[in-house]
Amino acid sequence: MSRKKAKADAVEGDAAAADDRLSALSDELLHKVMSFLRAWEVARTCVLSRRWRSLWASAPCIDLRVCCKARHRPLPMQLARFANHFLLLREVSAPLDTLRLLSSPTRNETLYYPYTDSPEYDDDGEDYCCTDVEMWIRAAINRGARFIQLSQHPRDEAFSDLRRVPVISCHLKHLHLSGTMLYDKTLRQLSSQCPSLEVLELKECFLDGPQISSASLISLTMVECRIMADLSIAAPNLISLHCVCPYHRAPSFENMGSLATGTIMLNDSFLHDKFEYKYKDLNPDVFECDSDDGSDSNDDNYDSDADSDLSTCEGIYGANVLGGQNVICSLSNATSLELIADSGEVILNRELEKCPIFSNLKALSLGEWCMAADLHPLVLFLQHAPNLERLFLKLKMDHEEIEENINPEGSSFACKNLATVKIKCHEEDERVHVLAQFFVANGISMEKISVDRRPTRVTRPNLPIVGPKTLMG
Amino acid sequence: MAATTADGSKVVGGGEKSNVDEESKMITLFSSDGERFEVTQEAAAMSQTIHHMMEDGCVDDEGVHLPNVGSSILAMVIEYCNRHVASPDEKEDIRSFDAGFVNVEHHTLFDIIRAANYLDVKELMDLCCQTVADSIKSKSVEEIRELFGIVNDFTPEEEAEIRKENQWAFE
Repeated sequence: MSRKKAKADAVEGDAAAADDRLSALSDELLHKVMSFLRAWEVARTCVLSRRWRSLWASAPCIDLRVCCKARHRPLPMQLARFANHFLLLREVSAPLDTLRLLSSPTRNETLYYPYTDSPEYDDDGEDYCCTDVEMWIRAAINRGARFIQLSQHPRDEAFSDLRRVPVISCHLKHLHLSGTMLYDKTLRQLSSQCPSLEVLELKECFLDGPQISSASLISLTMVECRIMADLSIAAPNLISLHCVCPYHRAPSFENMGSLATGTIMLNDSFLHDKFEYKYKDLNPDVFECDSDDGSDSNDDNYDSDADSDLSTCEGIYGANVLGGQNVICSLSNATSLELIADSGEVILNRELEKCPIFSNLKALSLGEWCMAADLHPLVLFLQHAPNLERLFLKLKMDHEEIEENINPEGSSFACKNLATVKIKCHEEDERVHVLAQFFVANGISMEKISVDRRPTRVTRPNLPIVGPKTLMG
Repeated sequence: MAATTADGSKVVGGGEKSNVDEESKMITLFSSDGERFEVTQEAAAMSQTIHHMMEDGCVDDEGVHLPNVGSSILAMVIEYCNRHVASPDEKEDIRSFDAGFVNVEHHTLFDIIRAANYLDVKELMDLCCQTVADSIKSKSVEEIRELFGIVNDFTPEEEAEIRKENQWAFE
């Protein structure tokens, strides 16, 4: 099916017009292509030909993200000057659908000189500051933006502050924030002043408010957020939940009757007030803001193998593990769940006492924590998920601390639809044999069980996947 | 409910009676030039247009006529959908499939964009538009014109005027 791209032949006059199939696309389709370009690339199309002269001015997607390696060059010399012209000279009646931007690497507003070079500013024309960012977000909200994505600039060491931005919009449908402070005021606005808000993605944000309560929310993602006060999440129409490695406290949940897919990853070493962060060294050269598919929160990044990586962070233990009320029972209607934590994780074990029946659950993925106390959590789940079809066990990859004596004798479950059991574990983890026997004893035949064995962290290529045949060998 | 995947883009279905075959859940699509394509309902549902028609019960025994999509382009769209429903989890494989898929002449890409728009296949639209955007970024105005065969129908004076008016865009 693939043919090599042919270079456009040199043509003259009418023949050339016939060959220009790009310009023949509708405005709508050209705007779609433009949504994958930066705003300055869009603006510069005004001189391509008459057909393109005003097309930029009605493009519904504005992408102001600078700092994108070698692509999207040349950048405007002064981003603030460019962006302000773009926004003001844009066609007033043209709907603004999407705004994507980075936070400012500079904090200092008083040193903002629009027309002179200053040693404070970056060579890359990143002469904008946080008040500019706030203004552009407000402009987008005022123009009915449906999708706003604010990502953290790699050189921005502080949090963006939304207190001066009224997040009040009946159009806003999808909001992505990273490195942003959300106080009670903003959380309230998101909850009740954004009646169309369906997708909320928070990455490395700072949340200081008691509640997120939204009837419109369909998808909520919180990754590595710092939860500074007890936070309750109520979202009766939520279908998808991703709560990955919160700091200080896990959120509590209520009213999640519509939930279909949930991922919860907890690391107890982070879940107390006194936790102190170890700041990652940010290497701007490797920063990639070009993920035009928009996903900062890839599931790929949060494989439970990362569990062992997280424990290298310095933590101060001893305080109580906070939050997470109803985290398990609120997921009772889910069809697919992933609950990843290390052995002995306090919240999941505590909440397991209130384990509901998961009548809709078809796929379940459990981390190392399910292996504790002779497989008690695993057994309990299997007993409460009668319609389960696929089970994934993602066990600890750090071999040293594995407690190898497990004896699930006497425990039984009945999952008549269970068709696959996949186990991912350390290559020397002998517990797989006990696990296999346990499944077989409960009516799961060996060919339904597969094991993926890996060495600890250091990658050795071409390690074969051990199938059920060699399991008992 | 396992979905059977079609091997290629064109599968001759058995039996004249019903083209929405309950057992293998197939659906027939007709291109603008009358060619017939049998696809699994799962693959066809990647097109929101077709998906809504199936949900609203608008698909009759004959199948779905797509007067806006020619057979060669429809074949490619079906190939894309089949591949994407077959193994949605194998991200590496899918990425290399996608890269090969868009390695076509521009005018084919534009035809796929039109078809994907009409059929409302979001992932395919995004892939193709991203590909076109990748050809545009980091190129000068002259280079863009040459690559796509865009004729500069401004007079030199007009062009100079526009550049002056929009000087802020070029700084």
